[in-house]
Amino acid sequence: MESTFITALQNIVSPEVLLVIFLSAVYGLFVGSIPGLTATMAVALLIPLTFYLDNLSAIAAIVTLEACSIFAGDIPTTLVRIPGTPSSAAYTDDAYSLTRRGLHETSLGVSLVFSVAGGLFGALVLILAAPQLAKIAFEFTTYEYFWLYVLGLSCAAIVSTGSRLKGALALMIGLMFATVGLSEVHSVPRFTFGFDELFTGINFVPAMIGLFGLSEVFRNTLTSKTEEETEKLKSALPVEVDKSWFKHLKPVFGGVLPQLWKRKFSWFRSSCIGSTIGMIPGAGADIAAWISYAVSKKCSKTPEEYGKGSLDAVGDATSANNSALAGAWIPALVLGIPGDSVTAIVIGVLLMKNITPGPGIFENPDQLVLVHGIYLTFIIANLLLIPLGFLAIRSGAQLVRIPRRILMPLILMFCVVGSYSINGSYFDVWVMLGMGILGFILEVFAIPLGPVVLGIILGGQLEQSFVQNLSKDDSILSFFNRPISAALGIFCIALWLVPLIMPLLRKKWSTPA
Amino acid sequence: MNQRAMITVSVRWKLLFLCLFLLNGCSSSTVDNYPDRPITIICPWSVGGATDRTSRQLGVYLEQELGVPVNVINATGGRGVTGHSRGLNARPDGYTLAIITGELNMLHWQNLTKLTHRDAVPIVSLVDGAAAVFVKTDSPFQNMQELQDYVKTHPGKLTATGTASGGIWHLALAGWLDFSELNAEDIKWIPMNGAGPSLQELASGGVDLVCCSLPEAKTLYESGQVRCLGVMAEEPLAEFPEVPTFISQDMNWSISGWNGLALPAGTPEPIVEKVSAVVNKITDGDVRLNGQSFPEAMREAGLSTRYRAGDEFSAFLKSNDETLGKLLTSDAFAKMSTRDTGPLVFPGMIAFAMCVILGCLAVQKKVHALAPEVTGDAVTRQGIINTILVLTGIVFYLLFAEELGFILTAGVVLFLLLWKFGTRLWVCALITVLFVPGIYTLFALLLRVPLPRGVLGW
Repeated sequence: MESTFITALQNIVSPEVLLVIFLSAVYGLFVGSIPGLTATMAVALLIPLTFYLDNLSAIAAIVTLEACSIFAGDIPTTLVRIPGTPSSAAYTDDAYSLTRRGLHETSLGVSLVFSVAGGLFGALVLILAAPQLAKIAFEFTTYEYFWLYVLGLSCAAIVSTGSRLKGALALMIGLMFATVGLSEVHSVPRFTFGFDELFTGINFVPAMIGLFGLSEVFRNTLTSKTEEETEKLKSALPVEVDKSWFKHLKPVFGGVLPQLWKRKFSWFRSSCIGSTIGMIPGAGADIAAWISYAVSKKCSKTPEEYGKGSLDAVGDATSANNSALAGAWIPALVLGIPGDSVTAIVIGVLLMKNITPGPGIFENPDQLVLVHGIYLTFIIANLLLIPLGFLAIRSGAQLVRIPRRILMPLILMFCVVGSYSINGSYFDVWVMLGMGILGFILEVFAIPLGPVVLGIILGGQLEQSFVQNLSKDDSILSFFNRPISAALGIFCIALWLVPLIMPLLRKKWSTPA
Repeated sequence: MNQRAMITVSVRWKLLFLCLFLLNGCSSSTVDNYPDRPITIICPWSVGGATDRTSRQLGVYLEQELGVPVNVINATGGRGVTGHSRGLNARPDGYTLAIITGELNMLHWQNLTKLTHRDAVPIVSLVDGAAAVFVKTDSPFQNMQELQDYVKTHPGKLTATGTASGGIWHLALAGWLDFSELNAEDIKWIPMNGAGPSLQELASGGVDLVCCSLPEAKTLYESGQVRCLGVMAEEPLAEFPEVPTFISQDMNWSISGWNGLALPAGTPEPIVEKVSAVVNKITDGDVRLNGQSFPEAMREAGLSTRYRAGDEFSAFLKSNDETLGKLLTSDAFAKMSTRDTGPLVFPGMIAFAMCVILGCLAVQKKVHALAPEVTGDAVTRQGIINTILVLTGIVFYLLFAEELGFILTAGVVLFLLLWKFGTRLWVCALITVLFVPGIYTLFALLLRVPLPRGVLGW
């Protein structure tokens, strides 16, 4: 144990590995901060290169890339209201509202520090609990999954700003889109209108780019106030443009560490939620962010601020999405079952490198060195994120100073290229265009966009587990026949019913008195 | 490019393209200097699976031999329809290679696509993975005979999974049931999207059996969490000699899933020959990368390979198509593919919920409560024109990018938008000149996204 750890440390501090880590951090920050380029895509694009790297460098590159790109996703989220990665979608409104008040540096500072803190917590969970905790996730059958998806979706609808009904409507729109295509469980194509491309269904990445990115472009071009908006932002920004970088440490980090100390319990709670959700196969950083956002709002003393620029919301959700990353590696390493889409790729890379993930990986000394290397990289990557993330924030802040008449065509360009890149398909660009128009219309009716995206992401899996459960046993009671599924199911139902029943109960209690 | 969109391109534009093409001297796509730009491999299955691993492994070796970047794109979904369509309907210029799998010979029998193996120019078959049946280690079944006896006395009691309904592993199990003179629905099939989630379902006690290929279950099998009752191969597998075949258990039944490399039908003969020559060299083990040949790498990954080149692969495709067709059109299988939960049940439930929510919103009169941010900013005439320009820009890009290439199309769109939005001309030109080649370098050259190159070759 001791010796493998030291070997891993020796291997990792070699100049080559450190260079790989540094370059992947820069690459991760870059990809993450461009709207429409996801962490998954960044990792997928890295695969051909991992062939030329040794095992440890390859894995280190992926870990670093993941951690940095998930944080970097917060930069465009905060500055231009376009989530850089799906994991940032939960707190888009909060982060952007802060920018409108000129607090973008504070918001990004909170994102950075809480991301690092959450990431380190996730790494600790991975190190301490990997084999034990994976056993729990291994108990999950289609029944538990069904309730888990319902839970994730309910949270998205409930926490979204505006009325709960509109959140639910947005969710249904997303779920409806998810039914397009040939479902894995039926052999019938649905709503494809003869397009072969629609057999795959609506890809959520172009959908997200359209809903958040393109609709934002439309909002800006339709009103002539775009220039005024820029002016307003500019005037809200600190006036003096100081050339000394050191002085800028203050707006970014000033007050953030006390904030972290003040919110240590909620940080702990969010990080726990993050790593737990991360561990569950199929539920990644994005769902972790949504759920911890919902819990954070429930526990908050100022829930009315959520969605209108709450630093607490940004901090909690961003700790959760970063701690989920390490969590997802637990089932991947222990069981060979991916926790999220990135670890799905990782398993492929490991197998290509002739390392078979599984309990054996913790016994074979050569492979244990690699496992320790993964632990160490998670820590190094998160520490490296502090200076590099700061630089990214500083350069990203220039984004808001660019006039909108120049920024919008450029964002449009990235929307088109980004939606094309994920699959190299023109059809996805059409999807992005359609979703952009839809997103704009929904915003006019004040219908939140987040649940639409989550509906598209999880709808297929929700339907699958639903149909799978029914094909095992068509009685509704079977949805509650296992202890974990019963607990999850009752919790989900309570989540929707309690707010409906509460007013009635209150009336009943108050009338006799 | 989208076929429908292509048709709408007018003749006048076509003439313009022709002129551009002639001006350029046809330099970009001659057969002689193939390949002179990146090649894309379309893999119809998701990242991490056996087919993906094969594609990527092959891609790396091809990249070394051909000297151009080789990208793998996972065009997943639709039970393989999407990926096979994209791979085989691609422009037959040798720059898109298709990985084809057993589903190519199944989907058209199930009326899911018109595509058949006749749309492919087969190059070489790569993996041949025989189906195997797995149970959890604490299951009472020790061999196939015990399983068969139990199913005979308790029809409909056991549940199995491994892939979607009607997928290759479902077919394998149903075929065995049919062979054992049992009904195909005597074991309930729970549809799952792949071997990975199916095996997890098995390990967590959600199903009784899993039918998939042995390498797919390698991790759980070698860690002793699942037991393999038998493999549906003609001979025991070299990597797993301890696993008995069905034939050795007196059940004359074998079936396997396979994958291979193909080119779209209509690819020029010299290109087919060049690709075949290179691929044969790779599968013969004559190409080494990091001291390892392709067959060695595949063996270490636990994938059973079966290389059939050119005509042999064609003959195999034909006979495989007939075998699978016979199974899929048989009564036993046709009866089974009808499901209780229809495909429109779930969308129906969603639609119903939507109506209820809309009704509630109408009652609350909240539908027209506009977002404050939107109402805050008035829509102007110039704004409407600008938005129409943005829309036109995207559509223009979509229609012409494939012909004109990314740099020209994106450059035109970006320049015009910047200019129309009120930026000074020289600033527009500067930004366009800086950004468009910049994005191209970044995405196409560094990130290896197959951005359209068009007639000019960039």
